[in-house]
Amino acid sequence: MEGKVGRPAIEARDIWLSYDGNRPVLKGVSLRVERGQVFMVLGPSGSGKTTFLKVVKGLLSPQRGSLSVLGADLSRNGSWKRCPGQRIAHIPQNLGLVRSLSVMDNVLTGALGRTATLPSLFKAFPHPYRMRAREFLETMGIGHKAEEKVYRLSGGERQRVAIARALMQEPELILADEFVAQLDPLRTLEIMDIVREIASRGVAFLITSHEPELVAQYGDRAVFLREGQKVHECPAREVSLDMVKELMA
Amino acid sequence: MRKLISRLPYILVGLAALLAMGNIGLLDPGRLARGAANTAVFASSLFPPNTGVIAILAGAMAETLQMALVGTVIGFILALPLALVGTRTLFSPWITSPVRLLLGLVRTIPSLLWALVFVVALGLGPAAGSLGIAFYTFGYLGKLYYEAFEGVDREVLEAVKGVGGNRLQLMRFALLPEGANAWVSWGQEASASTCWATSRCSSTRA
Repeated sequence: MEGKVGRPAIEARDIWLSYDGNRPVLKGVSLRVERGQVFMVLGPSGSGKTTFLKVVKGLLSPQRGSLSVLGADLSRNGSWKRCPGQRIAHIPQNLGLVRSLSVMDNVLTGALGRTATLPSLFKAFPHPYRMRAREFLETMGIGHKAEEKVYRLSGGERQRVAIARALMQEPELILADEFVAQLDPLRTLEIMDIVREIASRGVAFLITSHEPELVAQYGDRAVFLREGQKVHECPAREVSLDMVKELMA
Repeated sequence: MRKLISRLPYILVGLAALLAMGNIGLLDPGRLARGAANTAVFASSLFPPNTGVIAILAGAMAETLQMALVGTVIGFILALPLALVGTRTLFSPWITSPVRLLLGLVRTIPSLLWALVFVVALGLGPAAGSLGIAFYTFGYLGKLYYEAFEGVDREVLEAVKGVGGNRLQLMRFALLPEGANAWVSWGQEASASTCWATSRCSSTRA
């Protein structure tokens, strides 16, 4: 399941970051994610997984290192530039959905960056965007819930809405932070099948996870972080519970 | 002895309360008896009710409710946008601090004083009372609203920012819908409490 080779989606070298200037949370993390690759990040809580995702998304600026995302060098001339934001979709751990809006409105927010402000405030999104949002919802198997409020949905359905919203951005890279952690095993497999299908179209994924079986089954490559350091990188299929125990001990 | 010391604060508070009651006359049996008799006279004078004033009372009550409605609606309309501008998760302190200061100043002045200010501007009448209520409502709803907006989950804000949403879109697609419960329920609360405030400001009708 190795991703196709080409210009990398992410190329991070020696990334150092500290929130308070003293204790680094990331200590020289380097990795390369190819386009169309499902790249898994493993590590215990507090190992820097979420922080690294936020660095790639451009929400945090590291103190040292170099980072290239979708061909844009973010660390040029020593100062950090903004990410090509709209081409990077971020699915946070709690999904970041607006619970009191409908499923359709949540998915359409994925097109906010490409919609004029005034019409968007009245939810007057262009017709092609509405068509596309409906297509994504159909693909996710929740087309019939388009007008339902998000707070009425189950965990698995919400996950699908978050993925549909991410796809609405027409991203080349999707960052997902333990986004299947709260799902039952069956729903998790369904969602990960969708992830693989999207990746086969050339979209790269950087996913944090605690589950070695999931990583081995659905990932292309895996990296292990511990206390902000990269301790191991390997093809994802080699990841096992024993390996996790050994590296995380 | 230790028990007595631990209970000393309660004993002292109890004694102070008794002393205060004595000073204001609540322990004077003669006075209390006269009070009970006066209350009985007052209660008996309520019967039979004077139906001749019902029409006047109904008119005054309708006007009071109209003043409360107008005051609440104007206060709400003023408070909502200003509270959004006072939200620290959306704007820098350079913008939010003056807005919060303004809301704080408006809030410190009671509705009755605002009504007096508007009596000077508009003359006696329900309009002055309504505006007095509107300004007070604006001050306290504004504070409740920006606090509610700041309580909106950061992940939701980051998600809308992350898709390229600007500040107006953040208000429309994150703060207003996620804070809806708070701003609707506080609005209802305001309309209820302004009915009470209106009864005080009704003096501007005179």
